[in-house]
Amino acid sequence: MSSIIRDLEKQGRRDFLRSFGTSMAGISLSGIFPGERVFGAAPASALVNPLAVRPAHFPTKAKACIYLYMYGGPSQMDLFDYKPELQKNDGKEVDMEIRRREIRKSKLLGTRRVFKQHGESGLWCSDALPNIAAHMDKLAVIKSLYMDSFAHGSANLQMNCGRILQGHPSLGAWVAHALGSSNPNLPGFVVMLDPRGGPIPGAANWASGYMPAAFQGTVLRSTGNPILNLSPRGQVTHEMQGDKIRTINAFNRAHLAARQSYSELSARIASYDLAYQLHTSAPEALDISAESLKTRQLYGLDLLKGDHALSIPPAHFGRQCLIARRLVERGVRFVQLYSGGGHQQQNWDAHNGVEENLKIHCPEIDRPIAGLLADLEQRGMLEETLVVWGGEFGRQPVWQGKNGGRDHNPKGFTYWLAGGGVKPGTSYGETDPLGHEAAVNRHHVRDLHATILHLMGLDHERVTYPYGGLDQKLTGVVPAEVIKGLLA
Amino acid sequence: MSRKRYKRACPGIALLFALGLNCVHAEDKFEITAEDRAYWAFQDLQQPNPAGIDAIIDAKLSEKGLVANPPASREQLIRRAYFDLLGLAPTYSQIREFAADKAPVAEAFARLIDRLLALPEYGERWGRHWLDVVRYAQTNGYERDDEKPNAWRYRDYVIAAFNSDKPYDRFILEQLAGDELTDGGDEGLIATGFYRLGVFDDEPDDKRAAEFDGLDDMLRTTSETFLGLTVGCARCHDHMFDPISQVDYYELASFFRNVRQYQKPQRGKEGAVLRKVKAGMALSVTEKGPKADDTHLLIRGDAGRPAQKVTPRLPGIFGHLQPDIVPTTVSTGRRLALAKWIADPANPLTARVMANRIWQYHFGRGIVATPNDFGKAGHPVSNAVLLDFLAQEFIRGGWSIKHMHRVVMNTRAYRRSSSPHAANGKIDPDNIHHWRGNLRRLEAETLRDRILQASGALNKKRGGSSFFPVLNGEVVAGASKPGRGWGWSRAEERNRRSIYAFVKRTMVYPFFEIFDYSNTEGSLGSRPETTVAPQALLLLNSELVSDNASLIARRALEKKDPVGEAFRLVLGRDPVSRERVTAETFLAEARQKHAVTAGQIRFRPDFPPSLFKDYHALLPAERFLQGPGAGWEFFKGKWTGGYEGIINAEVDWPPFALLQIATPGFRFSGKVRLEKNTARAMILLQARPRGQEFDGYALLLDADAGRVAVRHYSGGKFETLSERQAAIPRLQPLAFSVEFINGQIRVVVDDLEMLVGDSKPLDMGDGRFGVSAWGGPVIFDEVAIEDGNGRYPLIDIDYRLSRVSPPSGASVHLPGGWSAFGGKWTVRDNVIGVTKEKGPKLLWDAAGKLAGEVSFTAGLRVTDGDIAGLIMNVTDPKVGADNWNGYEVSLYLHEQKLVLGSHENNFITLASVPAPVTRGKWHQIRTQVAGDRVKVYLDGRDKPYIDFIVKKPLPPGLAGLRTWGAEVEYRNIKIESGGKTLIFTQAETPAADAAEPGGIVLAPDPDRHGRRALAQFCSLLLNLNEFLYVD
Repeated sequence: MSSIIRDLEKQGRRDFLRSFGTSMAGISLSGIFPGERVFGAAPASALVNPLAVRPAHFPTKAKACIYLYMYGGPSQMDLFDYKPELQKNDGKEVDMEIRRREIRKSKLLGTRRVFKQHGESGLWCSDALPNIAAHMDKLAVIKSLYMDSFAHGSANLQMNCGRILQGHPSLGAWVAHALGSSNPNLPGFVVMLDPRGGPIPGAANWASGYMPAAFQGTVLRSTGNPILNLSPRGQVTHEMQGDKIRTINAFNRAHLAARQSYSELSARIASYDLAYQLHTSAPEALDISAESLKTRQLYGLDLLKGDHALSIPPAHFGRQCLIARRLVERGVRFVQLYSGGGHQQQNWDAHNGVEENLKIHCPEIDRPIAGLLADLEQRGMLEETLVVWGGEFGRQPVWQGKNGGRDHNPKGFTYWLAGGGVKPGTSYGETDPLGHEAAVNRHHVRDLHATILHLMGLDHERVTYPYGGLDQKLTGVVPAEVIKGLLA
Repeated sequence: MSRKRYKRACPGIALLFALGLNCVHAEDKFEITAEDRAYWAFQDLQQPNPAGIDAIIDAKLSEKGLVANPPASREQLIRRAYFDLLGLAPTYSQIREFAADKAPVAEAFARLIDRLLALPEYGERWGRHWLDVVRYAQTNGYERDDEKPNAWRYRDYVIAAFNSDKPYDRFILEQLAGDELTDGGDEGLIATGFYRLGVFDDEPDDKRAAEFDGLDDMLRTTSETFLGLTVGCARCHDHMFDPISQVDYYELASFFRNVRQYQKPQRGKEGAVLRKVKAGMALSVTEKGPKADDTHLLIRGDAGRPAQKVTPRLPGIFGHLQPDIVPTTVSTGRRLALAKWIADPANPLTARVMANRIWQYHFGRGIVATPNDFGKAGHPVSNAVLLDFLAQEFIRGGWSIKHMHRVVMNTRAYRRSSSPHAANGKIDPDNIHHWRGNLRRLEAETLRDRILQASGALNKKRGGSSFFPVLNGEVVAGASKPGRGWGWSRAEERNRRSIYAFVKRTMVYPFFEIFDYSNTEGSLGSRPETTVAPQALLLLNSELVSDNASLIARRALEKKDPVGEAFRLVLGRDPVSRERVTAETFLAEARQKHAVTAGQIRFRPDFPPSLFKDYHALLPAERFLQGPGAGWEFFKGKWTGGYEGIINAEVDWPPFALLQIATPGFRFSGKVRLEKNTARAMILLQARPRGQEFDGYALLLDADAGRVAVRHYSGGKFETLSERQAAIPRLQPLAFSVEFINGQIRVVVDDLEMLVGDSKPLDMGDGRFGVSAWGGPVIFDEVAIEDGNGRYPLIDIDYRLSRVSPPSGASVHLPGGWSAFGGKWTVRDNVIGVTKEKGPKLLWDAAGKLAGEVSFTAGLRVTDGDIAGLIMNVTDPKVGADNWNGYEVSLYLHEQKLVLGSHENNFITLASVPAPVTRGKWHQIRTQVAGDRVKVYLDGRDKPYIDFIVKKPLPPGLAGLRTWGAEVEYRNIKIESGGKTLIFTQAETPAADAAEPGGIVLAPDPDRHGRRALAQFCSLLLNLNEFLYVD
């Protein structure tokens, strides 16, 4: 067995049977499970279940995280970060760093949106997101984040994996690595994509990097075949698949008889049982037909597509938000939903017109996210679920192009958190008066990562993995801190 | 170690460091402690223990109170050796032969090892190990993830290096400094592709930092690969565990400082990464000139905060030696100096690190279990004496890796059985001390290769550009430009060994990824091994497994004992009687259950909602909607958009399939079933393809919206003729029928009936029956077409059993009995091919003139051009298009007809009928001549297409083949006369005895269920632990 996963050896052998990795629950085709008896007899030497449930470092409220990823970089000064100074100086020329060390004369671009304070907390939100605005009292909005890259590729990587360099595990993979999966029949880390395409640079955003592939995000499709190779090919019924697995396991048991000490052989037998169950459990988690009409409407499943050629109906993101709730209900640890795919105006990358961009994308997410927050709350799940909203960076307060576009801006941008362990109705940190650069209570995204891990009950210093001569961490070697101002 | 070759540079610095003084501008205090210096890995190699490997291991075993396992069986040994050295399985007969070898096992095994080491498959196996270590991939990663041009030349270089047993020290020199070697040549240039394999951000946030990221990639890969040292940590601060300071890091980095940065190859700028070699262009390095820019230590690794200047020098733990650097006219010579230090036998790490890698790939675990990290953060060495013995032996053997395989494999330790042992298991459960052999799982590539090997599909073609494995739609969907940078390879290419598969950083082939494939981002010393449910799903349900299982079943069915043969092909052994019982029980049940589905045809959409347009253009239409391979023609449907090169599927114009024959005025009936995730199904009527779209009528079953509609599609628009709200239940068969009566369409779906066109008659026209599905599969059952003459059931044809490889590389020799009159005729595997020319003929004259009733049957496939067919009653043949007399029966592809003609130096059409003929599909023509009556059958239909009385019958003559402006293949040529078969050129292809499945097969395969059941059983065997693990 590889040394790379040696830290796993130390943990979780007992929970061997209880995860997406190698699991057994419900119907057993192998006939010898549940298998504590079987496994109890085997020396634990090589027995590694990468997704066995592992305890959090400290007690926590949040059991799961839903990360609403606004791919492309949403515009903070048009949504949550109200900047009266910017409005006052709309159209004035200023010097502004547009790309790394590239300062250009640019014209300030005030928002065309109307900002209002909402709820008891009086948090600002623009009229671009009227439904989310009604939930401001639930959110902790941080307006003073910054990160290290002006380019999507490396920025997405840093936001998801902590580094601007490719090859590191993603946040969801770290959570799966640290906590395992509490549902035996579903993956620990699920990713759902926009139908217009994935984000730049694709699967690296939910990769497990140098950790085993078991931790990587499983892409679940809300329509069509939910998991790769889930269904048999050709005319094979579920019953026939069962016959086949039963026979495989019979052969494998005979093979195992003379090789009892090799626990990976037993693990593989168990993995076939799980594969059989996934065939029903995964579609069940995705099947929203049992949800009431009221619930469907809550998430905006009844809404029609906006009139822009590039927009899609809110039903798409709404369905994913609803499925995210169902997954979390069923014990999935980390769900990441992407709004926006492909390039430019197909996502939140508003180079070619920020108004146009908001018009395309805000309606696609507004009702779905508001519905998710309301639904989690009414089911008493919000306390146990951490909801994170944001993209890979923010946008510039100045004009780009002819159509009032905004360029990338990693120097200051907004995220919000809600749910388990989060201090509701909070506005934290500030950008400078023009909304360009984080100014008050500045935090690098590594602090956001540390905070998310903290809310999931994990000490970011202790979530490590040995690679390249170092115990690697999501937050890297530069010290990171939990953003206390966001915590309840 | 011998240090005389190196001069000490700036000895004072080492001293200052040793005293713990913060010399110059290093950020923190750094000292090399006595403990550091005494660390085992930095010591000179110990004199080898003359007793050898077994004695060293046995000593350890008795020290630990362990008992060595008995030897493995001969059957196990040969499997182990094949797996280790070739990554393939021995065949059944090879295993039997080895087991029956009378020589003592040690002797027989040694001979086997020699034989395997001489095979080219060895380099493909061990080259792949090396590619893990050097982070091999063929794209840059990041946003565009562009291809690194010709990266495969480096891969081929590595394979060739292993096959030719290139001494490892030379291997090091070539990869690190092949361009600086005076005798490096093309190989040396290609070898330096080593530097170019890493990730590269073509849109870096900070160009200044990006240069150092590139430098870091070269340095880390070099030090981990060759020295087992993880120096990467020292980029920002001194190494936390190992005696590598930040100064050391930048001094080492300065060896690579002058290498031109990777950049996108563009016309005029290619020199930075691509250099000319004899075979073309190769990924390679160049330097900026003989003098390098200054390198500075960077405070906290920040490119914007340079501190003191550094020069190329070895780390303090190696005494800060400064190798002799001799610049060439175009480069600094620094890399060559470094390479020579690494490849020096006196280097304490180099031989140990590689010997450990070799040991690891043989035993599944290294003597140092972290082969890239010999430092303190890595695993401790489990047997230092053994490691040093191997390292010394490696050097002594002239750095020969093949020598090391012999040294390692010809030991008792290697030949031990992998059986468990309770007492040993308590003391040493991980078998660190080698009391047994290790059970080992096939790696991703080995697994795939062995599946292809078992089915006989494995294509042994070696080297050259890579092939693209088939990706499912859902895999492609994850990319920001779905499918960009991926390609489409022909079936034979796709069956090459896994090492030849294209490696794209942002889209690793899921089969590989799920089975713990290499981490392409950085050097990987050993692969993690996980056991997860997606692996089971993949082996149960993937296309690769099910396709190959069908091929294995086909091979097995050629033998008298198919079950036994399946065991022999997949597992290399005979089944025992208990296993036979299990197998027969499974088959009997599966057969019965398959019988229920016998009449089913399944269509499954497999495309992402958005696609990059170039990839969309490359993908064959059969990929968009997957269904039966024969009898149907596939179309991509309408895709619109084009924003940023991305196009989107249109729900009202989905990919669809049309039956290959026209069916005017028919009635269709059957059952249709929508699967759980299927949103819509369409049944197309009187459809005529228009590009990738169609004109005609469509019955829409919209389960999502709960409606049934009949639409008329024409000229890129559609009109709804009738629509009714109706729940379409999923997961249950709905009876349907569609009928054309007097300009009206009568539709019945379940209990809903619609009559369309009652106000004005519809213009039906001609067309074909078709199908589409959206969101998920649609399954048809008991579908039949009825016309005045009868009822024809439509049955799924198992196309995997009727696939044929085209006759590329065909032999030019014609078999006896055939004479060519013009044209280039070739034969391979009993398939006769001819190139596109005007009127070439090939006549069968072995039996002379054929008298009496003659029947002439042949399968033919037109791959290019227009007219091809059979000729009979041929007399006076000569070279020249019109120089012959006889009958001709030909398919006309352009005009879609079947023509019977008579030729007497001039062609007269006797009969011409419309016929559904398709380029690239196998058709079958059967012609019977009896006196004045000529009957022509097509594609196995019972009713002749042509039944003609000739006024003036032609005299007896020869039979043969003739084409006109067409590239054609013929197979299964059968000539019968007077009830006797005179010739039957049975192609080595499946279904050779069945009718050519070109159109609808009206006679179902009598043992379809049996074949499907056996295919299921073969796929089951591919799932067994016995197949996945090697004892």
